[in-house]
Amino acid sequence: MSEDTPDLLSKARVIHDDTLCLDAHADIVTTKTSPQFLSKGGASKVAPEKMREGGLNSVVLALAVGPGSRSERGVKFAREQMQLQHATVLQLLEADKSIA
Amino acid sequence: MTKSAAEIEQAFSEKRLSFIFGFQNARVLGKDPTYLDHYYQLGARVFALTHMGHNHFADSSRPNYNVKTCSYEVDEEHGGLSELGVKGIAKINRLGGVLDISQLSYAATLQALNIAERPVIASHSNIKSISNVKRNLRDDELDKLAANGGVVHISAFHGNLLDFSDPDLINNIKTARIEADLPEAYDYPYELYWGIKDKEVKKNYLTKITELLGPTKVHHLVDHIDYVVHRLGINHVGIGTDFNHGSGHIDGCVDASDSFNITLELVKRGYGAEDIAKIWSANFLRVMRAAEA
Repeated sequence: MSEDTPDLLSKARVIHDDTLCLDAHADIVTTKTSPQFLSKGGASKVAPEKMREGGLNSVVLALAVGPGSRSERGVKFAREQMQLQHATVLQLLEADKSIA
Repeated sequence: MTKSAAEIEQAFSEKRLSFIFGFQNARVLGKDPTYLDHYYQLGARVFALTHMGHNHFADSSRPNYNVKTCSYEVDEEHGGLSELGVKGIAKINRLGGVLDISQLSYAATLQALNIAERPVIASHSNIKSISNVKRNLRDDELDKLAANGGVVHISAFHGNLLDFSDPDLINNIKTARIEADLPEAYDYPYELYWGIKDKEVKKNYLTKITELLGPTKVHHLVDHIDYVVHRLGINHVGIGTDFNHGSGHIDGCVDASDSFNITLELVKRGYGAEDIAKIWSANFLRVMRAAEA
């Protein structure tokens, strides 16, 4: 395997910068997200500034709920969780118009 | 919010970041597959039917654990997909969404691949032959995924990346679980840690397991990519980190700011620009376009 020579780093950098880099699954951070899942300092691991720093261009943000009750009440609560996640992302987009 | 492959590419050409909504867990639908329309209208374009725990639509690869009864759900509630699950997949296909098979049970995965009218993805799944975890994909699932034209996206969750087959490691993990008052049997080493009520015990357990597993590096993640490429070819693999849900305990792949390190490891292994473009997005976008058609 190749070592991290300047030429190899340079080649990888050119490829990375020219490539549309997409992450097909990340969770949405809300006020309910456990801090242990986040980056140091409490930021989302796919926060826009982290994406820009790492050259990640696009991410699929999952409206997601874990296990729970299938009762009417449980479903209602799950929908509220997803609604909160959806609203959180829209707020982020509203605050940073450069994100498509 | 981007809602199509063309919009994602347009954003990239304008040097803008882009977000796409996904959807995970049909539990939120109750028993109503038409409620998928609601999430499509909200912008969701990638649809996974299960998380941990079975629901009315499908069996999960991770049966839920009931803390009151100290027992897991049955392994299979529907034998894979239920009738609702079949309807749900047809609905996702009609909407033009991408079906995501991650976290479906083995039977549900094979059934979904049989009935899907479009290529599908696994948005965050790893390889069972390398890391023997139930939710990782077996070789026959991978082969069927490739036949479907689909793509498996490798996650950055070290509990699903590493090889746990060493007998001493298994024994040490079991000992740690017993000490933490967790069931000795497990599918992946961290399983059910979230149920530990005592914060100190929980912290000690997580520390112990992390120590036992040892450091996880970017090459472990790329080993899974390599495996798929060697088995299925370059057109069926991508990256889906599962960030913000426990993943990223990897040296050099902690969060999105480390994305370059994956490209660097791929270049070290001889992958060229075209192949890396396929891994990072072109394979995903091909499936998305097929779903939209």
